[in-house]
Amino acid sequence: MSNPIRSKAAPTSPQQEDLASLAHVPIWLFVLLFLLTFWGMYYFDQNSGWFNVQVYTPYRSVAELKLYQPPAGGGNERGKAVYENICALCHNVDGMGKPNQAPPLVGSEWVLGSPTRMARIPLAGLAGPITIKGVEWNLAMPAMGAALSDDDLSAVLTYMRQSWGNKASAITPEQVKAVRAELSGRSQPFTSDQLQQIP
Amino acid sequence: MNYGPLVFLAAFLALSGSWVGFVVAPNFQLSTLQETNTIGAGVTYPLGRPGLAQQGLQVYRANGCVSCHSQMVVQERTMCEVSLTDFGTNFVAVESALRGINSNYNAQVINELKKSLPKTIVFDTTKQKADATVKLINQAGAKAQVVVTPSGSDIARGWGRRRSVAEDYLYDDPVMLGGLRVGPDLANLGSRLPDVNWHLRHLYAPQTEIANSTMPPYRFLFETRKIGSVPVAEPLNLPSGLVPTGYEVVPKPEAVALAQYLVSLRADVQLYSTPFSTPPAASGSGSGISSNAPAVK
Amino acid sequence: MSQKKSSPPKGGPRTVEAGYHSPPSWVFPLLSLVAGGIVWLVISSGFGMVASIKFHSAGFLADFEWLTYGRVRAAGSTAFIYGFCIPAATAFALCQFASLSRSRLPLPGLVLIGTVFWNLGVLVGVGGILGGDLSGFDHLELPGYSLPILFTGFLALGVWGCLALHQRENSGLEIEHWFSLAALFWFAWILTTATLLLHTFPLRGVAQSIVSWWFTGNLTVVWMGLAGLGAVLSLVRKSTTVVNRNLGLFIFWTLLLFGSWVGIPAAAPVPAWMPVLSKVFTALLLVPVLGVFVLLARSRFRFIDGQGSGFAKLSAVMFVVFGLILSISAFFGFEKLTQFTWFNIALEQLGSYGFFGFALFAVIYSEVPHFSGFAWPFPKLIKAHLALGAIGLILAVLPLMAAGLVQGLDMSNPTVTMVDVARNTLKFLRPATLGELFIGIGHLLFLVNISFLVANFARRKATVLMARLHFPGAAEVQS
Repeated sequence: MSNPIRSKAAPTSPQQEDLASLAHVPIWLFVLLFLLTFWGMYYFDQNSGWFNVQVYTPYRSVAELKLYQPPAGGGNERGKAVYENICALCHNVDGMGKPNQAPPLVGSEWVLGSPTRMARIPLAGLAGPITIKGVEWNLAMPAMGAALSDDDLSAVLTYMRQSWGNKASAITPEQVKAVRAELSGRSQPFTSDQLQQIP
Repeated sequence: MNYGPLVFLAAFLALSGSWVGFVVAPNFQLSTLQETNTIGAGVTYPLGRPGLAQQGLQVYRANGCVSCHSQMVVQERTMCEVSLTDFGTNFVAVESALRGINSNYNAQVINELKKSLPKTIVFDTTKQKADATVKLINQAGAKAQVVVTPSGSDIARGWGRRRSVAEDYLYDDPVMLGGLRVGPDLANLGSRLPDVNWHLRHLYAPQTEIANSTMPPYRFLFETRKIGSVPVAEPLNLPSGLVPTGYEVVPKPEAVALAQYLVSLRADVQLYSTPFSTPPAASGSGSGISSNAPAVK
Repeated sequence: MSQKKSSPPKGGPRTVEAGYHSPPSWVFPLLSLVAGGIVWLVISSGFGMVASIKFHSAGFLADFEWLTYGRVRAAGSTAFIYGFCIPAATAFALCQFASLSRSRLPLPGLVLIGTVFWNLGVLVGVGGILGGDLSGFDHLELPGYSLPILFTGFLALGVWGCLALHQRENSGLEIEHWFSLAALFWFAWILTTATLLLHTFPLRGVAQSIVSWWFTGNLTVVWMGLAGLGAVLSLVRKSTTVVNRNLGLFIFWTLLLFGSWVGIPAAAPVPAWMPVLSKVFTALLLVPVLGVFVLLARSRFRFIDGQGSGFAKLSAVMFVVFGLILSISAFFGFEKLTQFTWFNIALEQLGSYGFFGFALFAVIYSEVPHFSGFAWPFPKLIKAHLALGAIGLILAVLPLMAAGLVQGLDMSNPTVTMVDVARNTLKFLRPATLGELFIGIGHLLFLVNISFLVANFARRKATVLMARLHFPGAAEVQS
């Protein structure tokens, strides 16, 4: 014994075998492989969304995902989404306001009145006492809408003027743009009296 | 024939396939994600976490919180409902439309329904059927809308409004999704429990905030010291008996950072890949997250 | 290597005083690589016990920052995988390659360097984890700074393995050599990828998690499958009438092709194609698993007589069970019940301990006497280890699987609070802790055996060295 390592037999020379002896793999294993592969391809086709980056389970295709999207157009969907994301925190989802946080928007003369007057409130903010539907409120609202685009702001203002039973004219992005241009440079919030003077 | 090289080549190709598929391809697809404007609201999402919360992420990592908490919400299906928002004026037309939807709608039921709008008139249906119903109602002069609600047990537990998607983790490093839920999912913890002090008390003594909780205390993130020994202190407001009299418990910076991180966990805005809609207002408690947070004392 | 294996040396050191031949110089480093692995194995079960007890009393050791559940669990799993599994499997592969050649192998120092660096890396890594530097990635909890040390060590071992393989006498390779070689190669690949993309140049966002899942899947299915089957198949008694080579290659290739895509959970917050693709390939894993079953059935589950054959049998059975559960559960939406539960932890334990750990125990018990030239000092402890390991595994895995199913049912019912979900699993975790204890005691017995064997080996080596110093002429007798 020249080596403590157990001397192992030389491998049965594999050169003599060739790939043709794949017959040693049971045939049913190949059948299973093909069946599973077929199932796999079908399953992938049905569920994967074909590599689309937007499609997540439980959606199975781009078409299905598209079906569930909120309806485009009609301005109000956009306004509703902005409202619920930003305004509803204080004014509540139903526009009824919250005590000690924000006055109601439903039936409010400030909401239903002049568009240019209403647009000033989110663009510059509002502070100090203000009377709404005969009730006096004394709170401060920051310029919540200043960061919104003209399109988003006009949509949300229109939503407020036309929801929960409110019926007033829509506000266009052009109107918002004009008001925003007038207010450029203003850092102070409006007061009730200042707003009264806006036509 | 010596087919050693052939075996090697086949093995190499098989392995590099998965490398291309699950390392290279996802990287190309997901690493280039940008902040997007959310649907409708035009809010930029996601924004990075505030600095203190980012430090908190490292505390979360260092203590292996990921061993027991996941941060991904599962959505099993998407449900559609139809909500009647405005009855309009043509009672007969609307009545016949409603009968077409459900034969149980007789005049009495409809009169009841009319008083408490908005009201869900079709539950748990497909988007196609919901759209068809809305069209039918609108033709009758009333107004209805489709409410799209993600559903699943995670969402029923109030762990989120929708499933988690890749955008939710864009600025986290490391991303710790977790695979075991010994405790609840934390993907939207900040929406359920936004109070930093609650988290601090819970970290110090979990059982004071959630009875019978199996979570271990993390008292080493806090300092117990004599009242008055250090001038500025924001001690925890703990139940009596936990701290000896004359002493106060003050969170270390790590604890504050961790609590800020937990509060910053929010992933519930609407993206293109996760459509949902808020039910129409005035139905009361129907909107938003039905909070299923653990009982808070 | 076939029939001769069935006649291993029985009892007592093979070397007789009169005709002692000193083993080649690479034997001692390889032996110490294995022994170091067993030390880490004992450490890992210690951490495992601490982590397990923490589940029954949340306050247990809670005031030590370096012993939080998260850190202890990570340290335990790291000590098991990186401390024991990888060095032991690599040592076995190197031993396999070295035994293909009868000539003196070059550069034995590489093995020593590899052993030292690898163990240093694990030490730094586990220390770092306890210190709070764990990475947060499952199965790769090691801090970034310990990975280059580990990589250096692995490179040294791998290069030496290739050199040994290059010197083999017969150009053909047995199927188990293909398994071991591919395991070495693929481990280097996945470790490099994960290190670069998770630590050196971390990817953005959830792409990190995908790489981490890919790494975990490839480590626990492909690498463990290859290295473990390489070990088990080397102990299967080959029948002369049935040529299993082609079936072996079929298993080899399908395991690589399908197994390397396993691991992305259905709930992952990534586009649908990734979990769907992963699920399809998990189901396809059924083919190689049944292939292994056929191969074992053809040789009638007969293993070469050796002290590790009990472990080898268990390991082979566990592979088939593990593979069947893994692949079949992909079909029926089973993951909706088991995701985020203990079931997956139990399944992983079945694979990485029941199959892979036992495969390593089998080859260590069978092969170490051959290549060291020393028999196990306490053969009875091997039987005790086998019994403790088998009982411990059953106690650890079955209750955890039950816990997972209960947990999954509870979680799918939103009216059960999470506190109750967690409480309802506790009664299952108790027997699991007992199982961990049995497993840990078994590891201690293993450590006792290997320590005495290494001591015998070292004593002999020292004697020979002394003799060589005093009578330089006598050294020429050797090898």
